Order: sequence, then structure tokens, then C-alpha cells
Amino acid sequence: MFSLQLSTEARAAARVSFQAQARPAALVPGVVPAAWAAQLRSRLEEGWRASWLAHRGRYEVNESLQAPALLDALQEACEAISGVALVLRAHRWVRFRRGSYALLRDDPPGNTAWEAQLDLSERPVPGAEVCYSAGRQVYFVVPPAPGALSLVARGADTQRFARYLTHAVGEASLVRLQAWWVPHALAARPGA
Amino acid sequence: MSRADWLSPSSWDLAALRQRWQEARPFPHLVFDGLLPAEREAELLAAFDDEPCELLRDEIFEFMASPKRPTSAGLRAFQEGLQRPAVLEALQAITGKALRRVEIRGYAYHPGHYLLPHSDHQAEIGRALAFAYYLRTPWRVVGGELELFSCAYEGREIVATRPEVKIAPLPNRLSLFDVGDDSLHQVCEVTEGIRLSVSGWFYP
Repeated sequence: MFSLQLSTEARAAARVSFQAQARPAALVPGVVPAAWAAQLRSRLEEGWRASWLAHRGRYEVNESLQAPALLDALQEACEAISGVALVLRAHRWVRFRRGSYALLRDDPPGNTAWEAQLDLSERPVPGAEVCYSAGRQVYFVVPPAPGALSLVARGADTQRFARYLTHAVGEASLVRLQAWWVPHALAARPGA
Repeated sequence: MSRADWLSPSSWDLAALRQRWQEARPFPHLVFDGLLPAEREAELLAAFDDEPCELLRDEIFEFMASPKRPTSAGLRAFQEGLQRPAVLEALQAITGKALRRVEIRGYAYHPGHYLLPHSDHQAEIGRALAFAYYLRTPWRVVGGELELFSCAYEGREIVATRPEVKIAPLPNRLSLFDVGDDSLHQVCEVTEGIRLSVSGWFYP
């Protein structure tokens, strides 16, 4: 059973940070135990599919792995951070290696779902930032941080890009779970 | 030496170049080797010592670039050489595009620098032709090729892209290509050496 490492203190601090932003966003380190991340990477290995539209991005996607327990744990963590009940809309696994990138054009505006990214990498990949922007102004950056969880309440003008990974990353790879949530119509769950 | 010594379009076979331009794939482009005489090559390289530059980084690029308007005498002279009526008329004969002026900028791509796939076309800006001139440098450069892509469409949406042509940044070479929505291109990451170039656009 998956249980993300998110202490009561960390939840409270993350919620304060999330709710304090004009564009709510938070980054919580060390949420995924390294052993679980390794297991997931192993299970993902067979299902990677190259996605390359040069004007949009180049990376790999795995849409076959099902991990309902992890998604349940991720939902609970995101609800604890945001203070809002959420409904899962979609998810996918992505891998970035040397030469990978994702441009703003790969993430057209209008997607107002709340976006979580869980870093399942083995080690930090140099330069592998995910940048959230509005009006082409970057307002939140997710650094490469194995085990970290980020949550961004996307606005109508929010777009995201992932920086190009240069030859400096060598053979390292960045693996992330991306999930999109819709705030539930109900109020925040008590005690979350 | 006069400004006329930078480029010599009188020696170009315009009919042959026009045919190559029209037949080029995935979109119209040409490569001119041995563009400048040796003295002008050296003058342009020396200009890079005088031209200020800064590191620029954005969503699709990371490189060193000079100011949008050249300040050094050498770069300004190169710009004026490209803008001579004889050069513009020759390029018009080749490409079918009426040209009036050119903008240039100096670039230095260090290891890890790149320019991701994009089209230079913005209707409100009006660029007609793009070019890149590669300087002779003391370093062995690995990477830094100009790569051209073909695009497949469904309606107005690009649904597939494929790299078709890779143009090496050889010394004293000029790459020239059409600017349009289909002109998807990139500068591949430099992994060794420093790639020096002067790039820009011709305008109607």
C-alpha cells in the first residue's frame, strides 16, 4: 500500500505556502520513498513510448501503467496541501533524457486543472526544471528533486515548459508522474 | 578595401541558384560556401572581440548574443555588405522575394547551448529570409548544425515532424532559408568548442 511521506507539520507548512501564493503552488520535498520510486521506475520500463513533435516537445510517455493505490495516496496528499477536495481527471508518466524538452506549445492555455508532478527519478538531473508561466512570465519553477511533489492550481493563462536537457546530463533520466485534478464542488475535507 | 569586397554576387549563377532554391526540401534553402574573402573573414572574426555579448536563456534557447544592433565596425560593415543593392537584387532573383534591408546579430554557442525547433515567421514582423554565416574559429566544434524539419498537417495542425536536412556550421559558409510557417528549424546543441555565427533576417 502506498503512503506518501507527508508529516502533519509538512502538510501544514505546504498548505500555508500554497494558499499564500497569488497563483497557488507548492513544492514539497521527500514525499516518495526512494525504494518505491525505484519499483515504479522498474515497472514503467517496458511501456515507454517516444513522443516527438519537434515544435512541441521530445520526451517519452507511459500510459499503460496503472497504479491506483499511488494515485489515491497522491490525491490525499494534494488535498492536504490545498485544503480542497479533488477529483482525478487524468494522469500519465513521462521520462526526460538527454535531448528531451517540452515547449509552451505542448501545453496550450485553457487547461485549468490543478497539476501535480511527482518526481520519481533516481537522482537529480541537472537543469531539468519545469517552469510554469503566465503571459510568458515564469512564476513557479519545479527543480529536479527526486521524491518531491509539486502542486500548481493552474489558471486559464497558465502554461508549462520543461527545459531542454543538454549532454551534461549524460545517461541520467528524469521520471515524473503527472496528474490533473479538478476541485470537487464540495468544501475542503475536515481534518485534512 | 571597399564595401564591395564583402560579397561578390556578380559571380553567382543566379539561374542555377534559383532552381536549387525552388527544388530544395523540406523548404527553400541554399548553402553558400567560401562566401567571404580571407581578409573579410578575419575582419569579421576580430569584430567579435569588440562586440559586447550576454548570455540569453529562454524557453527555446540558451546562447551568447550581441546586441540587437551591432556596435562594432566589423559587424556593421558586414551588415552593409549584405544590404548592398547588388546583393539584394541577386537574392531577389534567386528567391523571388523583394528585399530592402537586413538585421544581423552575433552569436556564440558554447557547449550546452542550443536553439530548439521553431519557425521564424511572425506575420506582424514580416521577415522574408533567414540566414546564418559561420565563422572560422580555432576550436573544433561538435554539434551546432542547422537542422531543417518537414511537417505533416491535418488541416492547419502539425501532426508529425521529421528532421530532413542537417547543415554543418563549416567556416565561411552561409545558410539561407525561406521564412514561413513551414520553415521549422533548430540549431542542434553544441557539445564541444564554440560555434561563432552572424545570423539574421532580410526584410521586404
